[in-house]
Amino acid sequence: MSSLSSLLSNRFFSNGVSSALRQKDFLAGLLFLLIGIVVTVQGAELAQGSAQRMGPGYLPLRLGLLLGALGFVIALRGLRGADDPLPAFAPLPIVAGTVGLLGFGFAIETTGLVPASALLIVAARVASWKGARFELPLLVLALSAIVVLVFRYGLGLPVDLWPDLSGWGG
Amino acid sequence: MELLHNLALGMSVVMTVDNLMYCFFGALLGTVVGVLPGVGPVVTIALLLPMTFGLPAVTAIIMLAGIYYGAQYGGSTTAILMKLPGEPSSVVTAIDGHAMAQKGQAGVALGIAAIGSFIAGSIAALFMALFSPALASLALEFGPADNFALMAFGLIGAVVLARGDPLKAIAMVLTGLVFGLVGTDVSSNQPRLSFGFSSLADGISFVVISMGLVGVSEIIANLERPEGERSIQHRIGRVWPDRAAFAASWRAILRGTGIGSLLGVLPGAGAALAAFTAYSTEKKLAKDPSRFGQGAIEGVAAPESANNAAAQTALVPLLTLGLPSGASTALLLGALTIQGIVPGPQIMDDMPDLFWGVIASMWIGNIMLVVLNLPLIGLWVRMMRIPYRLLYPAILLFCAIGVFSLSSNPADVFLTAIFGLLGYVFIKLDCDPAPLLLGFILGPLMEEDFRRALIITQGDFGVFVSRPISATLLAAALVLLITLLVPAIRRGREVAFQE
Repeated sequence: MSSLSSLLSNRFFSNGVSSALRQKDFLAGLLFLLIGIVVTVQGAELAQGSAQRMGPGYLPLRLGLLLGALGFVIALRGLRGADDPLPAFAPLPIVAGTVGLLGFGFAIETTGLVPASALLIVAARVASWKGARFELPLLVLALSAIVVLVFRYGLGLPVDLWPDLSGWGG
Repeated sequence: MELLHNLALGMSVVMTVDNLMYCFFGALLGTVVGVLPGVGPVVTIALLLPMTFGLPAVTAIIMLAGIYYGAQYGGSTTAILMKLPGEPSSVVTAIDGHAMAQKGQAGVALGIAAIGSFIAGSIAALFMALFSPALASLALEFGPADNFALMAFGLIGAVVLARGDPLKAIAMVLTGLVFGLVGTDVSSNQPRLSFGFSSLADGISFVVISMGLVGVSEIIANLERPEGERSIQHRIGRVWPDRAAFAASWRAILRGTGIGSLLGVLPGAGAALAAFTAYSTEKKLAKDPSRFGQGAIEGVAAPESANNAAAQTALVPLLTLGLPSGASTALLLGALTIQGIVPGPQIMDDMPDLFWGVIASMWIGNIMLVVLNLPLIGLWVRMMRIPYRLLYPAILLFCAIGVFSLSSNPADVFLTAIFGLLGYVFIKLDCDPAPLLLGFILGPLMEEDFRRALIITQGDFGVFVSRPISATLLAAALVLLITLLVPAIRRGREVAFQE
């Protein structure tokens, strides 16, 4: 107990709560703990069975508990260890990468391969706007052409290239 | 004599126009993508995997093998020319390789790397041919409990050699195992951990996990670093090493090959350990160790031979035991599974053409790498100058289409985005994704063996310690685990990693 109180006094009160919560190991432990809890809860809802005849929940429950416990240990150790704060996250690359992929996923079946590819490239380039004026259009053209040649014609991926506009005319 | 017969069978498999072409394609694409800045070997393999799905099994594996060592060689090229090692196995190459490049000997460094890799690859292929049948016949004795113990040992081995904190690496293995549970439970047909999403009912594809965790997350992480001036050596100089260079390096090549062939078989990141051991061996044996770090040619020849030999002999446990030794071989195992091939001791009897074809294709592939790389080095240098702002949209696009092409399901693309974010968080938290990938791929196999072992013994866990093979392997895993967690030994390991 005394070690716990010294632990708390060291980190929480000399450096402040916010500093403790920014420790890499503490946050990593928390993440593993969280995954462990979710898996444990989900696993507990399924039939357990026995060692001889395992139910679907047998391993999820046990692995979840193990992961959660390990996460707890890592988090606790993170509070006590040397100061190793989480580096800052860069919002623009995160948004560019994620929006690019999500946009592609939404567009691929409705608009076809070429517009979906263009959308991904433009969204991705939000993270770095440098370069000549015609660079982006040229990049879109070149990459779309490569992708169409390789995946549609080379590998025979069954996907439309353009949106289906036939229903629009009538 | 049987060996010659088998090698002849392998050659006859490779020597078809189609297979030779795909072997060449694989080596070429692997190198081309591997030399791109910011694209390591694991990402290269993940990106190129979808290209092999439509091919017949043997051809696909031959192409994959080509991609695998092409990517390795591409990583060494960036290590020498830009001091940017693509993965841990070429970290030591970067030290003396880049020093040579700065002295205007980039060409010789690349040349000796290619020649050393070729010699190492040829000897290692022979080593594989000799060693695999023995290992396979040993593994035929394995029961489910032994298989489980073997994979547990492999996972702990991966933790030992993972970068950074062992506790976090163990947690990453467990996370991988948990992700591997997602999907429909085989025996009860009930969905597990799928959170009601129908697209998770079949489980998570390993292509989605690997593209997200290593591909997309690395793009995001690379983008937040400012793109500074990279020190690319423009002067390559002569490529073919002269007599003096050969005289200085042939012993290093042979020693590196020996070290690499042996260490490659061990579970864990065998190639990185092999390269490091070969480098420090040369440094110890050298008359004047102070030359190392200043551009000693043995400092390139030895680790490059060692990591190539190890990359190849790592396929021995992969093919005969179904045990991958690192992230790249874990991807190969996933690709084999997609082709409907279950690696294991029976593979040599059931599919001799596949097994010996792969061994023969490694040898052919190594020849192609030399033929390809020596004249094309100038082209690789030019490709390295492509700015990242032009590259990363292409990589992201290939990730997206590659994942979509798995089953034409947009949900896979969304899932890749989620794993990309998770991978980025892992990078920020200093959690190496390799143990997770290994756990994810081995998880379902381990579960099956675990269940089968306990069905046979009617729920008696004693089977894992009463069978000698299983008991030995689990004891070895336990010893490894203890050495990891005891602080004194851990400090020694950290010193070794820093050296």
